[in-house]
Amino acid sequence: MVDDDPDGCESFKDILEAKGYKVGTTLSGKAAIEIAREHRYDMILIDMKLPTINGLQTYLAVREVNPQAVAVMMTA
Amino acid sequence: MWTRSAAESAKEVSRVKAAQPIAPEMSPPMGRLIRAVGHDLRNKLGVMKNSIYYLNMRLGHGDEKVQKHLQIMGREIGNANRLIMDLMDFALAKEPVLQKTEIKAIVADALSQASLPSHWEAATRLEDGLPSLMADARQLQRAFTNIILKVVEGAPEGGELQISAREQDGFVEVGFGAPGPSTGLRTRLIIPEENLAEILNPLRRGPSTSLRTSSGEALVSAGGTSLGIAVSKRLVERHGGTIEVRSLAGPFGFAQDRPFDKRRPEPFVPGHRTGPYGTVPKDQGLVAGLRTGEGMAFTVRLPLR
Repeated sequence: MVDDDPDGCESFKDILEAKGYKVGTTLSGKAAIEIAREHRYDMILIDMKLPTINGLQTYLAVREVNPQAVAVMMTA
Repeated sequence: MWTRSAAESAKEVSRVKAAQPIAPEMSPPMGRLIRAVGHDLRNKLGVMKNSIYYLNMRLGHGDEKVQKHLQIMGREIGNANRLIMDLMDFALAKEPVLQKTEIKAIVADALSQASLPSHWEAATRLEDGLPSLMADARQLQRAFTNIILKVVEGAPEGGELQISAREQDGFVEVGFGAPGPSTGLRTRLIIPEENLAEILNPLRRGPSTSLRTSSGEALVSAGGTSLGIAVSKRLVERHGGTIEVRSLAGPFGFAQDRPFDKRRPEPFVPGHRTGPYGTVPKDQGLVAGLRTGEGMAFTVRLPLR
């Protein structure tokens, strides 16, 4: 879960964990790309509006290293 | 929250950037500022909605009062979200993306989005064989939802929301109204005929500021603006269509000078008539009563092309 709003991350994390998923969160696209290099994820939720590296750029970079992951782009 | 492919999202971004303000009095920078702030506010509301979802999972089957308050919070977040969307649409509406669209589907979506209160029922009468429209389904759904909410707002007692659609002279005509039963009383807010045009104007406070005491005070202190209907008007006009509002009250509309109690609306008293500018104490509201066929009706005409 990639969202620069910590509360946004936490709210999703608690819901998904309550439903039995393992969830990792990070607040920036840059950190998300680093983490994706080291871990494989089934799904990546990415906020469109991220500072420095925006959601689309994050998605494209994460797809390179985690091609199997389904990406869900989120926006208000 | 909505989801879509990255490619679609990229197109979306470019469309937003290309959008122009539809409020002539609003400068483009102001429109963009409103959209940016609106976007951030909707993010916050989204987080709150998630938290309510979580609390519902944990507490939803427990205490009745807890359930009730979670529902209230959810409803108010929905209302706030809708208001922000209206403001964003009003400030900087996107050009409609025209696609082959079925009016029946738009009406169904609008009804779903409006979430009618439990004391309302919807009756749709859509002509068979209506032709498809070239329209932006999302924009028309927003326009119809706002109209439905306005009709509902004008009739706090509830009733039957009637939606009709027919083909007429190269247009599809969609009607929205909530006429009362053939007998008996419904309570309705009366908007004098001469003030009906105000409904289509933004930033008019509440549904009934045109109803005033003899000393000029508004009779019903309802919140909100008419932004929703103003947005409907502009979205419909962007499709080359028109929107009209008329009073079903006719010359027989009148107001009762009685306290307004939402829980127990006052019964109609034949012969008790003070007119829409009747004298109502400052600290009391108003029950506006009409015999039959009362309320507001909206007609949307959309060109076939």
